Amino acid sequence: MEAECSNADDGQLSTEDLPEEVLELISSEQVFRMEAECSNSSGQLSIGDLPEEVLEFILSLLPPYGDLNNCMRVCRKWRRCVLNVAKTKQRNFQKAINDFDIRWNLVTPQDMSPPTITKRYSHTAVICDDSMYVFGGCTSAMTTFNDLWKLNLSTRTWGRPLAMGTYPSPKACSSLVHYKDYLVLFGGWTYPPTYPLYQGWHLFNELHIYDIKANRWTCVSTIRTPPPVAGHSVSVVGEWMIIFGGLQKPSTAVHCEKSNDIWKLHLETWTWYKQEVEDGPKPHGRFGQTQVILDDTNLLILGGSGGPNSQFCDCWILNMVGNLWRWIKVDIVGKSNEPVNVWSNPGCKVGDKVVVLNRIRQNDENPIVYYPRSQWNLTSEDSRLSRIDLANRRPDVDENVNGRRGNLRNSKREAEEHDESVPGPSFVANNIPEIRVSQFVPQSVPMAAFQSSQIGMHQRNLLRERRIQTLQSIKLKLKKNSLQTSKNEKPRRLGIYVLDLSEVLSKNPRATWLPPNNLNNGTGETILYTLMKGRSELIMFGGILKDANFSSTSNLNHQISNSLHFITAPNYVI
Amino acid sequence: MPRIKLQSSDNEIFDIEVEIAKCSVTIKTMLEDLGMDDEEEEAVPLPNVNSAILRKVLQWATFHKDDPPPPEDDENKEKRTDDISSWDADFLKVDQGTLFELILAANYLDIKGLLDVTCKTVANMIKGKAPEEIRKTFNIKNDFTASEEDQVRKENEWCEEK
Repeated sequence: MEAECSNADDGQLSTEDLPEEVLELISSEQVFRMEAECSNSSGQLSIGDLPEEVLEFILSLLPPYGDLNNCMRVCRKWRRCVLNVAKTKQRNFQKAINDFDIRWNLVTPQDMSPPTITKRYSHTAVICDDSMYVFGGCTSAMTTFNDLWKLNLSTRTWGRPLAMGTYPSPKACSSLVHYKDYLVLFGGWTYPPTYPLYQGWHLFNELHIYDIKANRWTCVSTIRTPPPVAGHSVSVVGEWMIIFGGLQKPSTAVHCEKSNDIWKLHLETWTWYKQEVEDGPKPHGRFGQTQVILDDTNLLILGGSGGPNSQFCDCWILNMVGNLWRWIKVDIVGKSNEPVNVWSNPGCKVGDKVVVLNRIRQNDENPIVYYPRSQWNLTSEDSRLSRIDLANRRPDVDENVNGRRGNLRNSKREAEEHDESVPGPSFVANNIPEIRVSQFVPQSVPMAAFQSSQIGMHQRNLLRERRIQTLQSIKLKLKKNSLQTSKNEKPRRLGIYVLDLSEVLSKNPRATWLPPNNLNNGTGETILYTLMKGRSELIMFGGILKDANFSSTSNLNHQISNSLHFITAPNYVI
Repeated sequence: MPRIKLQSSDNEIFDIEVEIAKCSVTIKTMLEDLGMDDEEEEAVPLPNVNSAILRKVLQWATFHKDDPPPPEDDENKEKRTDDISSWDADFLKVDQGTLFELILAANYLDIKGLLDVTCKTVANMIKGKAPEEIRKTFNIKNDFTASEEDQVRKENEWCEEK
């Protein structure tokens, strides 16, 4: 028996050399395999002859979903290679996010085979295995959808499962999560009916589950239920679905309110509970915030909107231990790096970072165009002070240059002055590259300090230099303006903003916005899309393209998107 | 046009234009490092490539020699496996053994374009297939034990950190 095994294993002897009784013992399959090995060694290369790094390169070309799962089950070598590819891809993606070195891959509906998903915004999406499901959202015609679409992430094709059962109402800003074999849909809003006139938005508190395998919607009635809500944030932790905030309409109220309530739904018994929290500071009521899971007992809330002109960029931990849960405020470091808008741009967790897409801030961009988030600093004594601080937040400008130090002015007026004033130091500082400012400022300081006739000649030279510089700066500005007008058709681009959460669960919880360093390769500025994390990629879908050139809402249809953007690391290199 | 001689593993000599040979980064650096003259009489030995494969590689290189260099933002584009040109697709209608030898040669000679297109071709052969079909396609032996196979099926998920 032993001899036979060794013979079969080393395969050096041909079958004819073996004694007959041994031959009989060898199963026909083994003989076949030996023959196959012989034919391989006789010249034909097989995939097994490729070095592992080449096999890994081939595997890296496959979509990291079902195909790679299948490859993992082929044999031990392949499994090892797939795990390596997965690890490398994840590492590369995390690194790409940390380094702002990302690639945007646009897939327009024209690139895909039909059917094509309709353009939409304020829809909701969830990723489940190989698929991304998209539900509802707003149409371009002031109505809402109640359709469910499924994007196959391997083949990058849309499908529309025609489900049975009780369909949800058409709605937008609802929440969709994945639990076991179900998708759970809750809340949302829709436009008011056209008659009778002057009604408010309609908010929902209906709860639906979609059975993925049975392809069936079921409406779940619960005895206790949260008030109708839209724009809330949602997470699944264990057997619980936890929702926070949103625009609520309590049964007694006429108007919508921004909520900071927490409700939890037990996903096995379909029972709702209102979760109470300890007394103490808690986040303001809000909608459109980002909510991510830190661990089994902690959620993180970021940003959101508290209504017109009140946008939040604050950050809270919800500690879910005990009967009373606890809010913990997170210190934000690197506020000058924070994105402008964290409510219509959803965030997404990648490792220990939260990624938010936002339009890339230009260096020469006037900071005043951002409406100050007056609310996020409500505790400060002087709201006017904080407003101006916020509006003028610009790390690259020496305060001394445009005379801002100790002289707080109305930020708006200041802007006008900058635009119309005679070319002076502040003008120069605002419009020329930074290096020039640093050259120029030290020269102007001795001028003020030593007002004497001794340096008349020197001073005259300085003055001339200054005038030339001013002229040059005007020239530069004109050039830039003309460039801008010619480039006007290009919308501003989205880039990533990254919040580091590595210290968020420490004793002094803090989160740090990393200094953005975006390549200008993103898509045009878009809002109200969905951003989901797939395998080593972020998937952005739909939304409204914010383009200043589209002046009226009649063009809304052109601005609404049904394109997909895949945000990935640079390509795998062998 | 300066020419160069390449010698395959089975000692066949190929006399070709230097420009074509230089699409192989390996040959290019070899020429630069060794300071080999363009008019070198001696043949460059390529002990890892046989004449049949070298002929194929040179055929590919000759066809693609006038290709524009990849644009700066080449990496910006998603690597798609369905963007193989029809000439390349025809060129790669070969048996598996030849395809893998081409991959090895492209890897050894460091010809990125050829490596990309050959590996994409293999990736396309894998796409959409169940494990058993993949094994059949490439004549791979399933070396999992029954219990291992069960386990692999269970852990058959992207080990994604949350």
